[in-house]
Amino acid sequence: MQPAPRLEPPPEAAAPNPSAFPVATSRGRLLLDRSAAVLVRAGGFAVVFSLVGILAFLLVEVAPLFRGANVSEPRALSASAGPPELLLADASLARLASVAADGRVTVLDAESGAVQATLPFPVAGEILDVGDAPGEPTFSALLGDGRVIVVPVDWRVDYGEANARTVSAVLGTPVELPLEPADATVVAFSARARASGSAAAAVLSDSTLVVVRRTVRVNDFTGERDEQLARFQIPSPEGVTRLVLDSDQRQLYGADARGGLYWWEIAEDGVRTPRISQTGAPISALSLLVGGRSVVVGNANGDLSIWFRVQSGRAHAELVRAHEISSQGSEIRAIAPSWRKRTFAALSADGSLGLYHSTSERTLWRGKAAGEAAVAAVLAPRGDALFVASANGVRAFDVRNPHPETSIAGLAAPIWYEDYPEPTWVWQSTGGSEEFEPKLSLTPLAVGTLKGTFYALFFAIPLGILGALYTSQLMDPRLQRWVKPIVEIMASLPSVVLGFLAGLWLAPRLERYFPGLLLLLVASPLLALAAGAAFRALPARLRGRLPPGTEVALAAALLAAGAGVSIVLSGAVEGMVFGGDFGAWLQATTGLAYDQRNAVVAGIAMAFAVIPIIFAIAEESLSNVPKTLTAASLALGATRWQTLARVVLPAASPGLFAAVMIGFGRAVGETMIVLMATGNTPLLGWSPFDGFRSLSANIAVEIPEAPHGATLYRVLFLSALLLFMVTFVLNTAADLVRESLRRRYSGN
Amino acid sequence: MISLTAGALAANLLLVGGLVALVAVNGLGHFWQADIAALVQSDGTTLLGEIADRELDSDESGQPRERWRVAVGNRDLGGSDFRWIDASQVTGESWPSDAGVLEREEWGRFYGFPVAIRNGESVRVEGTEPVWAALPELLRENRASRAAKVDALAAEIRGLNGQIERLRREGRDTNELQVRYEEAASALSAREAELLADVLVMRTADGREKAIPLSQVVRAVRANALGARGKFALYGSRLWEFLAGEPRESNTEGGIFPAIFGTVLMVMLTSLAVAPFGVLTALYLREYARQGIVVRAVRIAVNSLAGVPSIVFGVFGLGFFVYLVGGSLDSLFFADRLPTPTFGTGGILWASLTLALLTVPVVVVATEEGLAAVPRVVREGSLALGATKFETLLRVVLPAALPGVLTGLILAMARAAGEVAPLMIVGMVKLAPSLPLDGEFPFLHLERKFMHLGFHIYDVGFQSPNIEAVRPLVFATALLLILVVLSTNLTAILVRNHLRRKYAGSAI
Amino acid sequence: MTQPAQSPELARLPEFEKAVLRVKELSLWYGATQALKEISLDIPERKITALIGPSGCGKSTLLRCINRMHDLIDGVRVEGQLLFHDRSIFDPEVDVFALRRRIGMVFQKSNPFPKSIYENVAYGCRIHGIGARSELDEIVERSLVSAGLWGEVKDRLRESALGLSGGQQQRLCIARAIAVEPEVILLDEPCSALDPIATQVIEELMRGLADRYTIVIVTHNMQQAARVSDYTAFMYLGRVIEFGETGELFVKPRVRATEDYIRGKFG
Repeated sequence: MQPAPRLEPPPEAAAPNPSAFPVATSRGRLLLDRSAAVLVRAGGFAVVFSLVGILAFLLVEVAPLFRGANVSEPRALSASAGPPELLLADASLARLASVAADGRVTVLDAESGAVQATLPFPVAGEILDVGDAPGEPTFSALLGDGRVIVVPVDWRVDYGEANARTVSAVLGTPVELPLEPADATVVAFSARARASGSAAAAVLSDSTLVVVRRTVRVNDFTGERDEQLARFQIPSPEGVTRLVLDSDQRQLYGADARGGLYWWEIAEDGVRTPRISQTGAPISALSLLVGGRSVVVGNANGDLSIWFRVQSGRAHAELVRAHEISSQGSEIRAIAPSWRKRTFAALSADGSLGLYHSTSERTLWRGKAAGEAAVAAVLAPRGDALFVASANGVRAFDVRNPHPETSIAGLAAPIWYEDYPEPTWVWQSTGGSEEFEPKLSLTPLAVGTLKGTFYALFFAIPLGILGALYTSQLMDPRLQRWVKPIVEIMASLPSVVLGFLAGLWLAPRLERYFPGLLLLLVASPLLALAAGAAFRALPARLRGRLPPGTEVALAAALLAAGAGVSIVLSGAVEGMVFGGDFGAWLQATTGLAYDQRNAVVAGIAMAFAVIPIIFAIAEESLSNVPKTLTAASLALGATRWQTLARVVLPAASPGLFAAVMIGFGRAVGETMIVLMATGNTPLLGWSPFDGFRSLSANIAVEIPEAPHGATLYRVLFLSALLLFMVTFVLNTAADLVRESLRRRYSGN
Repeated sequence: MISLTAGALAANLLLVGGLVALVAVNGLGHFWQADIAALVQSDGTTLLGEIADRELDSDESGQPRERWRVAVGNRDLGGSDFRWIDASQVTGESWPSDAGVLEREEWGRFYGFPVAIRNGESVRVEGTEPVWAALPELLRENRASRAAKVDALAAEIRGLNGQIERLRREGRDTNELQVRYEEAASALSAREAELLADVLVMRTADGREKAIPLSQVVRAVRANALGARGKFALYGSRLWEFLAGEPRESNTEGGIFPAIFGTVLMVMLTSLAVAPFGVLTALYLREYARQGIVVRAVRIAVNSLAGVPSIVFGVFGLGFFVYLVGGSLDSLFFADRLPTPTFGTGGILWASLTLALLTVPVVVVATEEGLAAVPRVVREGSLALGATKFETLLRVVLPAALPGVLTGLILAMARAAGEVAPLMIVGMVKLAPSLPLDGEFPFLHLERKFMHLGFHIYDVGFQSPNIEAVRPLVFATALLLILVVLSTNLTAILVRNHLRRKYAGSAI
Repeated sequence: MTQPAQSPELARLPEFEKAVLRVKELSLWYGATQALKEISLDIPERKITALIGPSGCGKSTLLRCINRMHDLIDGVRVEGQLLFHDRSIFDPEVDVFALRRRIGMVFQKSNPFPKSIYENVAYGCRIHGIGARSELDEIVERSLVSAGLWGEVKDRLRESALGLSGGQQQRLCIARAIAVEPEVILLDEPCSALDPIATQVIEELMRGLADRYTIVIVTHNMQQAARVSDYTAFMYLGRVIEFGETGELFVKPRVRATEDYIRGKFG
């Protein structure tokens, strides 16, 4: 900074009192002034930054939800001898097992591709075919003598001397399941084994279906093992070429080359006749998603569809085409499901690869496997790598695919989930089992939010605006000074207290006296009118001498009495109108159930929070209407009410609209009241007697349990973002309205 | 129509008044000791307890009937603290002067008649009257010996625990301390067992006897023999316990001191954070900014921040403060404690900062009002004397606008004290093991979780299994919260009105 | 009436006066509106110069230019020169805070700070770095004496200045202004809000101060200008129409507009 030059006075013009001060301002003062200016400006901008920062942060947290999968360039792992038939990956992505047609297992380092070990097939015999078990670390082999051998692959983790983690593959005890095909040959088979039992199913060349099941019961006390072998054989439809057994060994799915999709139920005592669905094109690949309920069907045209059983009405359950994936263009050769989510990879005859999610029907990624024809593909158990085998070896793709299940449509539109008869909107973030699929539709929550807001505004708009009208236009200014702080106090009541009162005090009382509330709703305007009439009936001279506020006090007294009487009469009304029991009457006439904590209760409590906001803003905009306008109207002989209705209300109506908008914003974001005064059921519905769950309460309920960065976490951020945007738009719009109103009348 | 507007206003005022009165009556009633009634019912059973409610109702056939809700306590025997009875079934009603109520560390209240005081097998006092006479002294004795023997040892164990934890983090040998810890722990359990040997035998109304260790008895009250003065003294004592005591029975009984403390500390930290931020913004808007697009943007930002739902701030606080900032702090400075997070989890600092963000608009608006009330000529007077803008602000404008700033801060504090939703995400807990402020270096533990009055209401009122029994306590807590919020708000309103009056005449 | 133009000879200062401030062809715009139009004027040292003219003629604007208070208003543009001791005060190098210290100002509406009487007077000194108690005490006393307020307030220096009467407040503002030892004091209609008696006190005070300070006063009140000032400038529509010795200007104005104004034909 330049030091400011002195203003030299001419020598002969020295001031009469020679100045005791330095004439130039000190650098320190100037520096302080400048830095204070910078600091203050920074403070001002910091608010904008905060707002933009919050928005940006929410966006950054939400954005990954809608990104596709990130799949790396492939790495070549090995040029193994002989093409692998199927692959098995270790969850930690350290090792990969490739099973050759002769049952030999080659264990590769999943990083470098180096061969770690070669394990011979543990059972002697000629191997005709090998098969996988989607979602489980086993593979099975069909031997020439008709036995099916299921081999578990265990991944052993050792921490050696140097605490270095090494993983090795060990083949577990093989399970034998004799198919006893007699003279026929096996056309297709599928087998699974777990501790409680194992099963194999096969279609034979003589059009029969054979299911062999070995159940193991271990006596917990004696440790005795009791093994039983059962064999069922039923005629099979002609031409079944593929079979896949679910992990419970209860459902068996098959496919034929003409496009038929078969579903057999395996009961304790036998196999039920299959239900058949036509898929339309020859099926070339068949697999099961995690949980075993969804069948992924790939056909010769490259189309992929997901089928699961749906029970509609009393009829038998049937397989339906629930989801379709856009075609991959060339015959599907292999389908590799994830073990965790409803994600799967599909491999086509022309080497094209795709990564999809069934429920969201999203195509997450598409690419090329390799030049030559690929034969097998597997997704790592955690879905973080994809391995594709071809005649020349195995290629590995690193997959980053954290949120395959969300799509914008999926958050708003109905989605068809397993076990549901039709597409629907569901919010259910956690379930009992690992196979549970989180259902994250925001629609029920948005509807709940709107429902709560509607009932809040239903009570708040009339009370807030009419009260403001009286206060600003008709009330003695001395009393205004009292009323406004009272409304401010109302605004400051903590919502947790309102919620507590609504949930624990009001809700049980409203349940008993609901007819009384209805009575009060009808009666209170009448009572207010009666109070006004009574007040005006007083002789004018007497009225003038009464203290200001008598009119309000009279109305308050009548309303309080009315409320008391309504409660007392509630039982009588219930008896006369609702046949003695409102809940039963409601159920009988409308089919609606009465929940104790319902939307009306929450609406009343939220109205408490919204009234002061509407009141304050409405009062302000009504007060901004120049007094000259009302005076002019009154001077023309208009009555008080005519002046209000024809002059004041039209002039202030944008402000009243703004008041409602801001009140709406407040109600939309209210959390604690909804949390405490409703049952928090995230069900879609408009009934005032049901509970609901709002977006905001949902965040409060769910986010403590949501792991950082998980899909649920990000979806909750998305709902926060929605709330942010809605209230931002509402508030900004309301602000602009108020500002223009203020400008219009500030001139007068 | 005009009557309707008056009616609407009347309804609003009624609602506010009714709500405050409802909370006040229920909350204040919590500490009052009613007389204990012995009610003989027509089936021959006798209930001993306080009649909490009398209610008119109709039975299945529509006939009106009166029902009483009786607080009978004895949760460990009967399962439920309250019983609804049909008034017409009560054949005898008496107020036995030797009946009493015990407030216990566990299982809530016990209503009954004292029978004896025993130590192990030996009887120390026997008979109702002698027991009532000896009980206060014996309780005091028991408490004194607990303080002498157990509390010191418990403190030592806590200290040892902390040392072991520290050594383990530093990777040092903890064996020696472990041995001392085991010794102290076994000594502690032996002494506790010793204290448990003194038991008070009580008889219930239906003649069952129950032995209650003296160390479990918080207070023994012979309700019907208390005079009015005794009852008021008891009221005061219970009120004090509520305000200054530690919670018992997972917050459903005892005091709420940690929640009060946590709320106050959090509000203080919030106002520390929000004051400079809000005041700078207001100064910018009023004193430095030229009217234009930037000022409009800042105003829109301020107003929007005011309208953004508080839960959104909570979500932002969780993602930004807790996970991003806290997580980075942890990996930079507290890497030795990972994976246990230090700042990477909710805590009082993050809660305060989140609330500071939430309350900025309140401070900005009030400060702006304060600044606007300072006449322009006063600023010019200072500038004309050669003062810089900053000097003018600091020495003339800000002192004059101070009431406005204060109003804003107080309103912000009231808002912060009443806000719960965002705190549920960023640092509040049901039961904090230790206060965020204590004698251990560095005294103020910003990373600690804390208890909060508002969350206490939610948690106790909605998460505890025995809602009927805790409701009065929740009412009392709600009353306290309302009082805190209302009194801060009223202060702000008064300061603001003062400000408005002061400058009403001199404004240009 | 036609737009009168300023002729140089109508604004000339007599040879014997020394001009401490020289306004040279000063024009000023508020946004697009021109408030001052090529004003030229010399302000004599240690004399009282009155600026008179109808409302909106730019006299207050000109006054505020002299210590650069117009800087505080957004969108102001200035052309021309205003020399203080032959140095342009619009020079960007000029230390505006030091300038204002040497050119004090008293406003139309009294504006004591919401502080004590003592602190009001001491304020400027504190700002400019004088903190010693004894020195401050002396300055406060001297300034209050000069402002003729000492006798009235010496027993209640610690009381709030807001408790003083309007005339006292205005004299306090004058005391505050002279406490920092300015050379020039600008008075912007200092008596417009005061009653006749308080006005008289201030007028006497001004006469007393004229020995030591150059005073420029804007006034609406022609009698006041005639009573207190040595020189008077008549301004109209942003121009100085006529400038001269007060006696001469009021007795035989050279311009028709001046005469019309002082005879009360408009204003």
